[in-house]
Amino acid sequence: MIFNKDYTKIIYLYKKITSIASSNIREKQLLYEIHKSKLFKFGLFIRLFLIIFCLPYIQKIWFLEFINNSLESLSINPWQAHLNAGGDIKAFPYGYIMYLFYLPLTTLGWLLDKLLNLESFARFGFGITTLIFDYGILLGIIRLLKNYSSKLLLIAYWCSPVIIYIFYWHGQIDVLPVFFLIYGLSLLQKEKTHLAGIFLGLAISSKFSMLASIPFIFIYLVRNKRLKNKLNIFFASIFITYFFTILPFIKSNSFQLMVLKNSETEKLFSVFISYGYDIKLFLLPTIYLLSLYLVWRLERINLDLFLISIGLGFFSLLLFLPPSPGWFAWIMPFLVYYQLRSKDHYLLSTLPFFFIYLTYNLLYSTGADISFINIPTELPLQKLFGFNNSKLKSILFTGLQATGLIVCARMYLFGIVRNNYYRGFGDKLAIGISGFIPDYINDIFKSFENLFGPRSISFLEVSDYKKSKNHNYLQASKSLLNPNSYNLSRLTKDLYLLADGKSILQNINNSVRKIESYDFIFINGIHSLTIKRLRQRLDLKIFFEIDKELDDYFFTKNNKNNSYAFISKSEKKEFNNYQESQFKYSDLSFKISPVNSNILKTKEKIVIPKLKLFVKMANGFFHEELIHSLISLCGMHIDVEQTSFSDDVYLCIEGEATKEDINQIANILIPNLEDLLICNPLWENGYKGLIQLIILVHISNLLYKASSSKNYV
Amino acid sequence: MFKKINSLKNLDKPDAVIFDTDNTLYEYAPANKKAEEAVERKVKALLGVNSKLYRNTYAQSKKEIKKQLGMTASSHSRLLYYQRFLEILGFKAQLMTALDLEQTFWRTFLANAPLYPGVIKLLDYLRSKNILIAIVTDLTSHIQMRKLTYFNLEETFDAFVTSEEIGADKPDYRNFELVLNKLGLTKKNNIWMVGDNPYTDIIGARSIGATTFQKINNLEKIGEGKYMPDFAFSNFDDFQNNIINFIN
Ligand SMILES: [Mg+2]
Repeated sequence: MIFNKDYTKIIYLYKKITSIASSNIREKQLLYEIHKSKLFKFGLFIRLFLIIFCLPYIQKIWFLEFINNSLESLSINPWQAHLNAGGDIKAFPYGYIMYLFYLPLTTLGWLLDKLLNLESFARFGFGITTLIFDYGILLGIIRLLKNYSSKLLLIAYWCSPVIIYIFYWHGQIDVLPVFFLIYGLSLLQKEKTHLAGIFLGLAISSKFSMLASIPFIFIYLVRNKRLKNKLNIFFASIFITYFFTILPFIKSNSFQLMVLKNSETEKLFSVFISYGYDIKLFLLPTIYLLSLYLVWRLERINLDLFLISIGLGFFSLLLFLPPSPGWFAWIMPFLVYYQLRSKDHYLLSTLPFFFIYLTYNLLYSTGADISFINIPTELPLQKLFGFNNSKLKSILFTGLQATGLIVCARMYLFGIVRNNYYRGFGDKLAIGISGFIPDYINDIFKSFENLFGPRSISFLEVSDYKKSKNHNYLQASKSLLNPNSYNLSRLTKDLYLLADGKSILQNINNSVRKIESYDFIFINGIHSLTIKRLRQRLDLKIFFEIDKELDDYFFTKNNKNNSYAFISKSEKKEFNNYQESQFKYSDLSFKISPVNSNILKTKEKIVIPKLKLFVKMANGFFHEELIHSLISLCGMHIDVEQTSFSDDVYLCIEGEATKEDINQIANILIPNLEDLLICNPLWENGYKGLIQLIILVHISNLLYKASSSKNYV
Repeated sequence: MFKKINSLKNLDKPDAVIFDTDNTLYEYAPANKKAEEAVERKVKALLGVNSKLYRNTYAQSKKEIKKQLGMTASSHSRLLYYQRFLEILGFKAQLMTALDLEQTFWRTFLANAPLYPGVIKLLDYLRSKNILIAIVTDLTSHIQMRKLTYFNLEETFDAFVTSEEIGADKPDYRNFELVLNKLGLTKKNNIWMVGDNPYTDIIGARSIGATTFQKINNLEKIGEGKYMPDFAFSNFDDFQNNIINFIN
């Protein structure tokens, strides 16, 4: 054998594990890039170096001492054991889960220490545990965001001095709850609601203040069509997990003393404005409520927005807490997320904050003992150097909070006001569909409700705006094509009202119907594109054409929308003019034709024949990806016509595509599809599904364009 | 990892590099597994056939088709497997269902088959050095063409040969002679063959005197004896880094 069998086995096992962590192809690529990157190795090296040579002071006097005491007495209740051994009451204000997860490797090290009569392996075990969950947070971030560069992610998280400082120099262990939180959120996004609830439960159980994230998650779930119906399961599983992991010790005095009544909890009420003798305004709850309200007020929240808002919520809390270096670990993954979203803007606003954070904490918080240097580096530098300038401390602290506040403001402005991948639907999206559309095809537009969810589309039918019977003096044929036989100004007005968010009343055959204003407005009928003012408000203009030969199949002869009825020459000419103008106005047009026209003439029975679909759309948009997917995934036949000087490209698509095919292609073509559609979208089969798909790609592109071109403050 | 196995072989700039496709350019097993699971779910939903019955019957139909067709392209045809599968279960000629299952299989398969890292970079590099690149693969042409299209490689190669064209799978020498023919080369040219399977790719390519490279995935073994490749590598980045000196 040319290379070690065990080694390959380990690699194989590792691949298995990470492939569970990342089922998605893009995630795999990101993982591969990350593991290969020099930045990753660099970050790993620094971590290992610090774990081996530096022992953070708080780990020495608190965490390791606590675990040591519990191991020495072999007690099930570590808090009791610790207090019995005369340990510090502040040593371990975390839940049992924190203890359990840190226990195995630390115990292993502890046993080794006992055997070899050393005092190193326990702390290695402890440090390695931190490293594992630190790496876990990195994986969690990858699971949450697939579309960003690995390099940026490594710079922002893995090589961040703040992360390294908190976990390996100062030595906080918030890494575990943060890991549970991030991983729980990624599971939630993948609709693994039970597991997500368990992870969130574990997060709260290991550190109670993680509870602060729950209201934000609640708002997100309530607003998310896809996840809304899983609310109960999610919260039940959080509660059950929390309950069962906290239950065994809830009655223990030592647990109550060290965890439930710890001074960290009191910090919540330590910052206040005094309103005279005995009234205080506690700032933290006030700010927390305010940030919840701001998030609640958002029209629609998707994943990006949600993550940034949790980060913002945490951040605003930290600004009104007495300085506590470990707590900043909570906001880091969200700051990373924000950084990746806003790229260049980020550094300017966060660098001062990070810089002051590190300066302040190096000066005033405890550090770590370096094993090969004989200087008490575990002391705060201010003590080490022996200067004591309380004014400097206050100035630095003010700087810290001020720069933090600026980061918060930037996050709010960029992330939330400017919005994210798809605009927050503050503006309605109006789509006009024109042409002689048989009911059979008309269903396609209704079927968009199976994608966007009920109460997401306002439908307007041009035929509902036909002028009343009093206008009967118009000729029969004219009454169909002539725009004057429709109340188009009323239609336009209604569209603008709906687009403005107002509901409208329609009066049809003396009965009044109310149409609510939803995210999408579909206007449907032969004159949807006829008037300029109407066209101007339409975000997407679609024209539909049915091959003449198919009229028999699609229209019954006495149908009101029957183009078949045009017999005389002048009528035909008018009809052709109509078709031409609508085609010209459209951004996107579909034509349905029979695959083989000769067969039709001989056929007597009305059976829908095999059809092909002609599509006109803007050149250079997504037709190449579409063609690739249709050919490779569905084995369809496609002709492309693309004249070099035309802005449009013409496709002729032939073949059978199932709704599963369409669903899969949609996932390939549309980024962040899950933000756009409901949980289990129901696609149509065949060319109807294709039409849905092509329209949806256009819609997603419009929403994206709108969000990226929007100005921000 | 890149390792010389045959110490007598020395590398020279090749005139052409021939690639196998399945499990060489992308990892076959996970995609296959996901696809078979999807079919299993569909069979359950459409026909009410439980997993155990599905697996047993499917294995049987696969065996029968393979036995019937020997080492040919269509012996790998999912469509034939599913057709036979339905027949064994007594569903007679349910042609639409067979087609549907086949489509479900390949759709899911492709969506779960990412190219190995470094493949595109390597192919671009070889093209930039005016080295011809070609595909020699088993299985039917239609699905192999769909695969390459899915990978956006449909216009990348100078020649493309499937075992359907000559009627026999690798290691049949005719596959390799045909690709030389299409490339306008002969056995005298310096040809490299890159493939994962020692029993088909490596020994087959020796019939045209090619220098052979085995791509090793996970725990796969390097061929021994007459199946021994000249070189073995585990990823395309290593491969490219090691051949770059010989090509420049
Ligand atoms: Mg192969």
